[in-house]
Amino acid sequence: MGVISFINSWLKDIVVLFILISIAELIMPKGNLKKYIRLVIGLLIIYTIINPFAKLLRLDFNLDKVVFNYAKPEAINSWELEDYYQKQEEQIERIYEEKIMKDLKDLIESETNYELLDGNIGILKDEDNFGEIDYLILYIGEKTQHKTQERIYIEKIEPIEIKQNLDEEFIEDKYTEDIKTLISNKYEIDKDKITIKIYKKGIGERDE
Amino acid sequence: MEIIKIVSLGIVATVIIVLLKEIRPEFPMFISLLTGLGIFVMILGELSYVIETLSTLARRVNIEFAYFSTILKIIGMAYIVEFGAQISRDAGQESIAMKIELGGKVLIMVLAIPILLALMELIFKILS
Repeated sequence: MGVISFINSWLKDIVVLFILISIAELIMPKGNLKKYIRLVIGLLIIYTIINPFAKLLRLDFNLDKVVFNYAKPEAINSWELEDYYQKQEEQIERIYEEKIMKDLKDLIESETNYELLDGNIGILKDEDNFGEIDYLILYIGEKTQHKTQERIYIEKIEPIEIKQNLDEEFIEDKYTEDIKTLISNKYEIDKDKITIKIYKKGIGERDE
Repeated sequence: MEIIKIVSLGIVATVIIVLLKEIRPEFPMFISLLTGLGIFVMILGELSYVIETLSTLARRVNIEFAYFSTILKIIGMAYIVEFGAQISRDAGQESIAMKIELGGKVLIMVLAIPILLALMELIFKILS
């Protein structure tokens, strides 16, 4: 199946490309410059034909990026450049947030009896303290230990209910203080900026 | 009807030019310039529709969009260069027309070279 879908998408690309080119040929001006346009179109055809081989060999090749690197700086519109940088910045921010989340998850799981279920993180973006954590909202639940197959099956359903009324189910209590201290010591952030909500499965279970 | 507007504009301009040529030889050039601009403005709306169709088609395929927009840019540049060169040629300035075309060719090559280099890199990567 893999081979068939591969050839299928390749053929589709080539067919649509040729339709595209025939329309482009129609709107092409007559005269001396036609052969230059044809040169570029020829390059496009070559690229479309050999691109699947690059994918087959698992080469990491992004034409946009390489063209961007080779292009003369003035040839690129400033808004394109800005767009590019903005995308890059957003990506970095996302990775940064994911990293902090993963760090927190490991920290909470190794130091306490709870585990991180979900969380929101806000990062300061002004020049002076870029990257500092502005606020932190964590949803944690008691660690789930060994379960039989049926138990896991039941547990899978539960999170759906949790998400619907997150704020009602998650409450703050004295246990959160310990975790807050832990996090604020590690990341050197103000305790007030951290909000922790614990999900309890049932009253009384927590003391076990 | 757009087509009737365009054709009648062209015919009227031609008649005026033929009539004026005898009396004032310097006017025909301005009229042909204005007619060219007028026709271009008229087809601008239709042209944008064609370009939009092309870009939707391009987005449906796995063609990198930067690549396709380069082709559109080159076609646009070619049109502008042809327009200028034709006017110079009509006025009898063959050498100026050649220089305009030279400029167009060089600028088109500037746009094409990054793509050429990127393609070369891809081929070398596959072969290595």
